[in-house]
Amino acid sequence: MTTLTARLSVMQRLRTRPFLRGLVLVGPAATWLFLFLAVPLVLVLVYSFWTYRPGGIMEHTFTLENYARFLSQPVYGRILWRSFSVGLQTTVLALLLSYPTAYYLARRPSGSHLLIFLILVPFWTSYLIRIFSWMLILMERGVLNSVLLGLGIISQPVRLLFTPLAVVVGMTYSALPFMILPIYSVLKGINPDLIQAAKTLGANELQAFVEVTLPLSMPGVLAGSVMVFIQGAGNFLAPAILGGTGADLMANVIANRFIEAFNWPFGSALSMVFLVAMLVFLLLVNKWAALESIYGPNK
Amino acid sequence: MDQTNNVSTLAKRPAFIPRRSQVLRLMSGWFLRLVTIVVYVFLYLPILIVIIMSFHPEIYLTFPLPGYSLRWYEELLHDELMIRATLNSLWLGGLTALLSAIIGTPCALGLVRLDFPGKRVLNTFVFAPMIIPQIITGISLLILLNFIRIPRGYPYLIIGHVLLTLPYIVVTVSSQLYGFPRDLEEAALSMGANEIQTFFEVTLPLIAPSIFAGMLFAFTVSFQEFVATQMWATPSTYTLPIRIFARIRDALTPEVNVVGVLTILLSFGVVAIVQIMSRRGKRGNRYGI
Repeated sequence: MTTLTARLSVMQRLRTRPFLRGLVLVGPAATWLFLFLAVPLVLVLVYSFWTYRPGGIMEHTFTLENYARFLSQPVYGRILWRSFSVGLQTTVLALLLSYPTAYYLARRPSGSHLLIFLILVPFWTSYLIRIFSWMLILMERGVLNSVLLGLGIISQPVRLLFTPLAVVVGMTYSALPFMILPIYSVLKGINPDLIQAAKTLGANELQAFVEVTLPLSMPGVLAGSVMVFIQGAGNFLAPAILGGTGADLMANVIANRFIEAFNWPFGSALSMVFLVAMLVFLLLVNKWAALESIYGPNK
Repeated sequence: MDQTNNVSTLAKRPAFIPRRSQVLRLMSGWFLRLVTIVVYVFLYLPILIVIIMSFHPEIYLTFPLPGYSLRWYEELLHDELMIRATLNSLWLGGLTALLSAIIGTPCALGLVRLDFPGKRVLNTFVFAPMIIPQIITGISLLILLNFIRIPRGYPYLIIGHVLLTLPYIVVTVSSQLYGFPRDLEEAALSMGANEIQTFFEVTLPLIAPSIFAGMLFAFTVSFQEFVATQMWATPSTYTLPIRIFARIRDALTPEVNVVGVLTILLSFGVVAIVQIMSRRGKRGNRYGI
């Protein structure tokens, strides 16, 4: 009897107070995100100021040594730069291939269910396997070398695997679905009357595309590009499998500090630098893109 | 004289303009079709090669293949380490999908339907595990759980995989909630059902397909995640991708391709199931969810 009234009062309270109801619904997920993502990130920041003594010993005393090391040893700056550069190269290449494809798929008069299905399958296929597939293509006795030899273009197998190019190719390949899908969905949502109106007013096909379709599709381009850039700059698997010794990106170096070198404070400092650099870059892009959307249509 | 000239240029113009735009349209059409074909070949050739090479009869992966055999499919059946890693990943993926759905579904409901302080922050933060580089998610959870002295292994894997898959559940469920027929719930409420009854008897059955789809995606993500997982797993708790990576590094044989074929079949099946479900229901969003 008491439990029944207690239950009723809980339900009444839930009904009358939307805040409580919100808390019950989003509480578990918010707690999970707070405890296992927000708190750990703060802890990484704390660790990055702790002292490392050779031999894997860590002292809980404040130091700026880890950040000083990042600044004083140019190799780490170079790796950070390479991560951004590889991320941007991948984004541009993926965009160049994806936009026409997405445009074609969106403008197809008949349905493109099957074609979209064929984009979705690689989207959900293991990243590891997709990167590995390029190892089979690029290795010394792999597919590409054997085709080139067979055609008589080369007389000796060429070194294709373990090169910087292999990393970018593998990443671009894996990025395509992530770029095509958002652009496709935005293009599909553009009202065709707008393009027709531009043509009625005297624009030719190209002008209508440049003045109407392209600006309207920018949200999709931006969404895809941000995803692909983050995935590229933060990539671990492509450099680890397709890259040579000098191809490591930030993710590889950070992983190495934690697994092999056991220098957690320095690894934490590298993570913080990387995270902040990514955030600043994305905020700048976001700001620039927002300005573009304000001034764009008036051009 | 003047007039005839004018007439003739006027008469020429309409004939000229369509022709030029027709050429343009034809060219752009060919260009688009060509790029699209190149992209599809580019997308599927590597997958095809993984499949073909899985029938390699020898230890070293070479191309062209010296013959075809099912040798490595058989070897996989006797590879205890690989089987243990697969089973490990299977139950981890299942548990992850379940927990993620239990936490993520109410979260999607709250984010779509209610207003509460901090909603915008939460709305951004839910997607953080998708946006923060996985290596950072990996090391930060490693640092936390190590800090409170929990040894590496299953607790890390379960907590971490739920974290990484939560966004997929929230995206999937909320995309269906936006087009939800609220009048059905109002009808149930007006006929005397309380809110909890209404939820379990009206709302839940209607959003069940999207929860199921979200769970399939969560399972797929968990089953294939490598970068963060390498920070959490120990040799006795290796998941399938960690085991595959170790093989690629240390002992590459066509068996890796056989496992690759199985994961390709998995993603094929998952996408097919979700597509069929969403075709029967409403139109999916950009991820085919």
